[in-house]
Amino acid sequence: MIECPQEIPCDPCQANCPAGAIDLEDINGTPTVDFEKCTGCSVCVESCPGLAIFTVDCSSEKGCTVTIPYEFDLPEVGEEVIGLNRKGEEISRVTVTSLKTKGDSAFDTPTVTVQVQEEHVNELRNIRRSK
Amino acid sequence: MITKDVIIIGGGSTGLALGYYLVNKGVDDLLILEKDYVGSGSTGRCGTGIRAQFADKPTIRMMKRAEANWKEISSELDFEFNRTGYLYLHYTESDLERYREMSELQNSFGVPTEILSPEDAKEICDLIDISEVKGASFNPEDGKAHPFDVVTSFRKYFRESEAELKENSEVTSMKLRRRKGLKLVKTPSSTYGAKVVVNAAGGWAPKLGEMINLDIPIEPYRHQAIITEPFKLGSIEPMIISMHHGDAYFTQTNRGGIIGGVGTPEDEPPSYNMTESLEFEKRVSEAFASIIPGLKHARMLRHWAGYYAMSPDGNPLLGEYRVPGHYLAAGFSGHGYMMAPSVGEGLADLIVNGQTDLPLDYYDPERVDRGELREDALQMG
Amino acid sequence: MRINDHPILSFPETETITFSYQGREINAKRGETIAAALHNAGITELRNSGDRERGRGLFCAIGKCSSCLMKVDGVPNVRTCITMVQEGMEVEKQTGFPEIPSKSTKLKSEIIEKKSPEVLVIGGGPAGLRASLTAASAGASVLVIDENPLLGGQMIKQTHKFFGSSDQEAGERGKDIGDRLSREVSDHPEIEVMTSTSAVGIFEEKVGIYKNREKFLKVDPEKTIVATGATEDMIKFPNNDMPGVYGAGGVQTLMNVYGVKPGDRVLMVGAGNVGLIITYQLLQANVEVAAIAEIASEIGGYFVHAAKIRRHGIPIITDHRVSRVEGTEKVERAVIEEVGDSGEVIQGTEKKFDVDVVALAAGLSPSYKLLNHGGCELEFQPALGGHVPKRDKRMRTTREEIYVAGDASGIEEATSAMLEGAIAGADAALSIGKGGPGEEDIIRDAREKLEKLRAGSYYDNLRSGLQEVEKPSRTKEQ
Repeated sequence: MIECPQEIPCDPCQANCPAGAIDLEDINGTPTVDFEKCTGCSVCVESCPGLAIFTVDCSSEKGCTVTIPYEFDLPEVGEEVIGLNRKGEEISRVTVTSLKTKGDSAFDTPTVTVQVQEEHVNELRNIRRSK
Repeated sequence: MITKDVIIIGGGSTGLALGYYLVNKGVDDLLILEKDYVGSGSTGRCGTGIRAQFADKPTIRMMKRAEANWKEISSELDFEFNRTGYLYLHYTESDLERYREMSELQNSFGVPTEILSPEDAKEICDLIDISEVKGASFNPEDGKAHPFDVVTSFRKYFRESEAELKENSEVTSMKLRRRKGLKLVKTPSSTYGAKVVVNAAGGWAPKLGEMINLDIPIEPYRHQAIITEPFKLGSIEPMIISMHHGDAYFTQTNRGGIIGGVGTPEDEPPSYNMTESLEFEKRVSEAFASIIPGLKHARMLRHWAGYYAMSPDGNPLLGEYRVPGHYLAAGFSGHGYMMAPSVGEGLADLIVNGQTDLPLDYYDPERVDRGELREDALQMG
Repeated sequence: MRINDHPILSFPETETITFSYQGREINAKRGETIAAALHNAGITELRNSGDRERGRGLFCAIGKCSSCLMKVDGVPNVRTCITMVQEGMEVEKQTGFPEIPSKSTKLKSEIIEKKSPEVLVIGGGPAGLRASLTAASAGASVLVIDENPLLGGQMIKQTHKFFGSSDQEAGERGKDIGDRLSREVSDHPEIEVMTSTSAVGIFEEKVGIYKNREKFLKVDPEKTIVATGATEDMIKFPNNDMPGVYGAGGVQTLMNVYGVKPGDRVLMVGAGNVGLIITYQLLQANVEVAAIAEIASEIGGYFVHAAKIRRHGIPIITDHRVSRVEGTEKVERAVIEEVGDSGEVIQGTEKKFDVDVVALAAGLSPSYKLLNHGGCELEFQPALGGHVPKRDKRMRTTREEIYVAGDASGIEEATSAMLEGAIAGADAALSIGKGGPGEEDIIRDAREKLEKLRAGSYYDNLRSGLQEVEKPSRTKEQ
């Protein structure tokens, strides 16, 4: 899911997509995803300088996951965290299924993947650790 | 054409003070034309100092009166004229002796200059390094006034009077009409005519002369000055002078900055160049820090250049010049600001009454034509 | 108030040193500024103003305002935001205008030296560093100076990744770009670097510079590139001078360069990119942000930057101005209120926030004064942030030997600053007979990239402002 509606001069998502699934007219265009080609690898999530890309994956039988870029104190795998929407409001408690640290990330941006109920996949865009 | 009794060209200290005295003597139908804004020429670039410590009788008399007039005008127009004195520091016995003689002459005209020991000089400003100082001369009646306070006070005065002060009004041409003795003065927006026109344009006076084919023997010499960041008020009360440090002079303004400069190298030719030189900053810092070591740590905030409008003998050109009703009040050679109130009074007397008790004949501009040059007035900066 | 765990930055342990403030011993880290060390010790009132005796704290943190002046080792008016703390330093608060030191101090006397690099670059930020590298690679000898103790300009505090084209630096964090360029410049055999060095004026072709408060140098370069950056704007409201009111960039310097928290809870003023980005960075530094207040009806910054902080629940309150700041000695509270369409205040809309920091991200103005002093023709262009020099497409000002690059030529961002730096550096080299077709390629390529960067509708105003000041050729020969 690319949430980048403005014409700003930027292209790393398109340039780095291994599947060639992101279309960008020119550097000032707004990116669109060809979901036929997208493999869900989340390289774009790591490479987007604006932290504006999220992966929603409902292909597994275990349910849906959302992968978000997360440049804060990282939770642990298996930890229960609070899922937040675009306004920072709490949606539900969710569980971390995997993460990439700054060092693991190909583009220096840590990411967190959480298990999310299907009705929340287009809402959940942030998490907060419950301390 | 708009006719006036008197037109003054130049809105610096000279033109403004002359206008003030003319109004006081009943000349209300008066116009002052300033090409930029009041004080934008040499007045706003000056070192703020006012002194009567000169070496020749007429200038001592003119300055004695000027100081009295500064006091009067400052209280009437409500600006600060601080009589904090001029302190000349002498670093050789011969200089001390020369200034001792000068002080006697000054005393004879009622100027109370005293010769001080180095320790007495330090009493006046304790920041001075007196280790090399042999003595000092000090006139407590000398002082300083901030030129921006002065010109804005005059501007307010003319706003409230019948006389007219027009800024942003550059004179673009002048003509002499033989009939009726009218002088026509054009600005981009109007044409004015008057029987009496005073050229008080400082370093720019020769350019006005050219318009009526008159050679005015004045040349602009670039002089630079600086001001530092502000310090606690009262840090340096008097104007401090050292001829020993390249004609250095400095004092503190009523805003707190230390303002001053050093002399221009003798080989610098006259020009309308108004840029600042790095060389000057080097010389000024060395001079100031030698006189007051703590000034080593003062940063210069601004640095600018202005003109000394030099006449052939370093004395002003004051009075009617070659054409009846055409007056010069220019060529002050570095002393125009301090002298303005007595020049204004004397010239106003001359224009209105045909005579004055001030020694204006000493400064008769036609002396140059006659080859009667005066002694150089005591200069610095 | 040090930042210990940061998701992006690490602040290495350095030697602890001791200095005195008002006679009291204070610990500091070697390599931090006096102001940063004092902030860490909880001292935020650095001086009292000249005439009204009001407390003043840090504001810009990069040596551009004069809010942090203190007496250091007997020397008054030292900019403590760009002066590194040293073991045994004596720091004193100034009340009112300072006294002229009565005796000679510890400082050594000034030495006047002369230097004649082919190219002098004033400012070691993105524009200046890129200009230095480009000119030096073409074979010119370069001297680059900066007032700050560190090279890199404002890039060294940008923890976010830059936008732009992936064949340039896009996707790289500003800090990493700054560090990389600084390293390349420092390692380059043709480039001499002088930090903690101020340019005091451009006199004809000579430039006066002042190093470490000790040495005065006369630099006589063939070409000068002015890359002096920008100054943060102050806005008017009661108590805007109270310690705790900072430029947003000042807050960023404190926390991202020196690892010191500016306070506990912040009101950000301004929702342009600077305000949005720094809000996000405050959250990363574990500082609470109460809200962002924006006087306009719309958020000025990029949607994606706003989205990053919205999803942390930080409200962006548009149509609101700061009406005042309250507190006894430092900021304790900020009050905002709604403004109507014609700028009038709507009564009864006050909102109060208990904060100890108010960060102003109200715009930037180009630092043009050296250009003005050097005799370059300036023009006031609101779309570019204020007074900017007229120049041609090779960044030459109206004085042939003076170039401009980066924010000093108009407020944009670091990517365009680097491109302008490359153009200025390449043309400066060419104009003194260095380089060749390769430099022409650099200029052409950078121009094309600049045009692409500025092509979007977001930059309509910027483009029309640039058109006004970019003249096809020099207007005046010097």
